Amino acid sequence: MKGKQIGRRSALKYFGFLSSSAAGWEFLANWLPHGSDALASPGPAGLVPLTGGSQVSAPAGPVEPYSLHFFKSDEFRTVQILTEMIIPTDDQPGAKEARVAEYIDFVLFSASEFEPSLQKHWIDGLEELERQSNEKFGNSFLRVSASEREELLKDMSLPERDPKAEQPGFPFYRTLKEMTVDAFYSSRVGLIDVLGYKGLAFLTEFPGCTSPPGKT
Amino acid sequence: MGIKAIPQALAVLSQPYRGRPECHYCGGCNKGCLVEARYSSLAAFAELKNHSNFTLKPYAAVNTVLMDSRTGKAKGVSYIDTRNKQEFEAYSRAVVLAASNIESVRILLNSRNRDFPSGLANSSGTLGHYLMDHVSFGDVEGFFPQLAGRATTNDDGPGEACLYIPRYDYSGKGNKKYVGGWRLNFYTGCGMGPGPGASLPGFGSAYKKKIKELYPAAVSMGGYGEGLALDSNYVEIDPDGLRDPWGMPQVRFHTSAEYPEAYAMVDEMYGQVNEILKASGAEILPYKKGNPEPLGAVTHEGGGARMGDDPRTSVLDRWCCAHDVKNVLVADAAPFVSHPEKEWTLTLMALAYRTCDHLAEEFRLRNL
Repeated sequence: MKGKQIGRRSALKYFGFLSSSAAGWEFLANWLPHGSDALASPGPAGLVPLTGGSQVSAPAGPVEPYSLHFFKSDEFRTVQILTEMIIPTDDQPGAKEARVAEYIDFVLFSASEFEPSLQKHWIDGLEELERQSNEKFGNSFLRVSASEREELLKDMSLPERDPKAEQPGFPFYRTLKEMTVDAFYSSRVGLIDVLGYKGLAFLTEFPGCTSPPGKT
Repeated sequence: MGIKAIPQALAVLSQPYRGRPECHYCGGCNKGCLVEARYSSLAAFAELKNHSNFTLKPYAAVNTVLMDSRTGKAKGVSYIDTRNKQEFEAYSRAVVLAASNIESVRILLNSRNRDFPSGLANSSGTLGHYLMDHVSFGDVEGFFPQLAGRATTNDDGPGEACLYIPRYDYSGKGNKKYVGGWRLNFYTGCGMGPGPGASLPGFGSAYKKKIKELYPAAVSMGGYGEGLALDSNYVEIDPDGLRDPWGMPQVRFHTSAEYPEAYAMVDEMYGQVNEILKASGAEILPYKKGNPEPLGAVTHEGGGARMGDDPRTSVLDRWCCAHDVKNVLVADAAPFVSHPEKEWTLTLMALAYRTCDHLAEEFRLRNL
């Protein structure tokens, strides 16, 4: 069966990268809230229970600092800024709190085994961003102002608003956005704290649709 | 629009049954039901393990059917313990393969011998051929504006389509350019994932707020159609010698879902989906009309050891016994010669029961 709302299948794809190697398994274990039993061992029927949901208590204790697996530190700083531009922290947490850039770093590290072209796509994309930043503002992306960064990303995303427009950075923008969105909304912060996902909770009865017909 | 829609059947218990509890509505059905309130074949095995004449061999991957060259009948199977790669044999009066269609076909192909050089029970040459899957296309996504911003609810729910329209255009009336018919599914609710807002243009705080606003308003529609069983869609043992982690030869697929009837069906499905979503007041997100998705995309696969009365054109007889080796039976979707637009599982299970009944009768009559 397929459920194909954006994010679901592709998020599973990247999770697949992670869960199929020992290093990835370790990463996921650290990734999930401490004290969470979301990665439990297989149950009697050989199924691994996924008990992410709202019953899991909030993370406790300090999280170990993440060491980079794929990006160089300047690249990583750029990726941090980019993901925080896609999903910023406003009145609610954003990519920063969900540590989306770390997730992307590790997915790209894991991609060497599964989809090496994804690594090149990111490196080329970051180079293209640098090129456009230097061309437009005469400086590296890390050294231009927030409003100039905003303008650069707006330029890169132009074909979203005008399908006939051409922008060499657009494929990278799409990947950046897709992976940021996937990472954020599959994290505890994004799915539960921000969106308010209520699934996987024990109910004693199912209320069904609680609105009278024709009302919402 | 006068189209009849029904709730999706879910195979979830509403009251306790044979040691399995009723559903507690957690909504994690698709992640493997922890209490086994939702049917799964694993639960059926768990139940069988209490029978005195049933032995479950975990970690056993069957690689070949063993033949008795004197009688021309199967005498059991050989299997590999996946923990240590040791090979074992198990003996029996009959062998029933129900490993899912491609695996059952792989076991038969890997059981080739001097009498059956192209695969066991393959004198017809059709073993591995006539593979099928539902005709499908990328779901059309949108949202109901009147539901935007509502409080979220626990309707990750059954994890499947909630509403279902079966049997589109099986009539054969008009001048349809495809065979059989198709059906439509609806998906709604607060699922795992960002929902329809993520597909909108833009980034930043406004984009993020739009995602949250539209998260509880998601709707998407897709359809599945009857696929054709084409001789040209087949598997063979990989000619380059690809093997699985236990050393067993792997299959190579040769399939295409892009035949004219599938295109015609997908065209009509897109049209009907648009009409229904528009009539219901949904906003449809921009999408590109896609080609029929490749075989395997829906994971409702079947065929490969089809049944038939003529041993020259089929692998199995009407009881799903191999024409060539009467005590080898197949009880998964491999015997299917065609399939409905609906799920195949109930048909598959009914056929398996029928096959088992026949096998019991053959034992009783001492034919096997």
